[in-house]
Amino acid sequence: MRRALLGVSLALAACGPPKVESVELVPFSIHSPGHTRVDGTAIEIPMGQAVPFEFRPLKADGQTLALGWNTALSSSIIDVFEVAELMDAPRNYLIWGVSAGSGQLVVEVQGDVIDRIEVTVTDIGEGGTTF
Amino acid sequence: MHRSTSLGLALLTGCAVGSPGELGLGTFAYLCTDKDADAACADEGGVPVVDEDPVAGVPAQIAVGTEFVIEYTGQRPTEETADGAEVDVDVFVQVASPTLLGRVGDGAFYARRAGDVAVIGMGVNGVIADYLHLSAVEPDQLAIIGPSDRVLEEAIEMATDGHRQLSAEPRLDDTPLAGTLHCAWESSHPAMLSVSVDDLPNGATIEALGEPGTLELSVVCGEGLSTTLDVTIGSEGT
Repeated sequence: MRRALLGVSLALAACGPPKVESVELVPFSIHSPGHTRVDGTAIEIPMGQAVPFEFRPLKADGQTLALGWNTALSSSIIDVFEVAELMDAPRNYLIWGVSAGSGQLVVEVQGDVIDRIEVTVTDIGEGGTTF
Repeated sequence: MHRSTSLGLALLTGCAVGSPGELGLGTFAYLCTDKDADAACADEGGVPVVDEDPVAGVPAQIAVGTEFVIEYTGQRPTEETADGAEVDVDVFVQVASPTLLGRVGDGAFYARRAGDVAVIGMGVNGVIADYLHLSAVEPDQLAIIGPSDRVLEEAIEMATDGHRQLSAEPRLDDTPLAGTLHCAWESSHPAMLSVSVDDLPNGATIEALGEPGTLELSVVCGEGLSTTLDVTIGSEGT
């Protein structure tokens, strides 16, 4: 399967990578809706909580970039938040707040950084009080 | 393709409450570090004394200042070997925020602060298998109970040659909370009442030393949770 993807990737690379105009992050489960925001422009998560989401890199025509292109998400400060792939689900990730603070979710396509999304990890206590 | 596997729970106590992860790919088991010291592993007439989350199955509320174990079983991420075969990788349980949930010896977790915190089943290759949120709360009461009969002790009366086994339990709104406490016990008059460390981390055995009178028995557990009981020696106690 990975060899097949590599073949597709090489074939696509020969044509040059298409420009990614925007990115969408689509959460599919939120533990604390009143305190959590995950989209393509900003992320806010309470410390200790995790949010699974689908990552959609969008081309100028609004279509999602084909799976053959190499994409990656990473944390600029892993002491504030972490992000990792979910198994068996291409471009599905889990992001979680480690400690209160801010950082950036770094978006890469074919090894180039194409976007940085601001991430804020808040410190909320029992009953939803923000510390 | 992942195969459903059982990693073989290292059951510390024979007591485990399983909960499906929030992605539905695995199960997170709550294990008591000591089944006689954690209300999550106790029952009264077959009915668990700790409320379980109706969806998740794990204890609905874990007390701040207590220890417990979480283990993951279920589907595992794969990786490709040099010869092209796909093999399952080992999964470990990671905590989303060490500020809320710390690690202690033997792989147990320690609830440091109230709040919701995710435990994450992560493959050694960094790929996520599943995750689950736990809820830790501050207890508002340290209950002293008989470890076998679970009878609440509000004051103790005992004979001049009596002895008692006691344990401490975290509670919120009179409801027992999950988790194992570590406690220190102290007699205000050691010449009248001795306190010896019990086999249980939250327990002690007290023994009257022949002299009648009244004194205080104090206990401090976890993150500063404490209580004091009046002890009367020489009465019709045991």
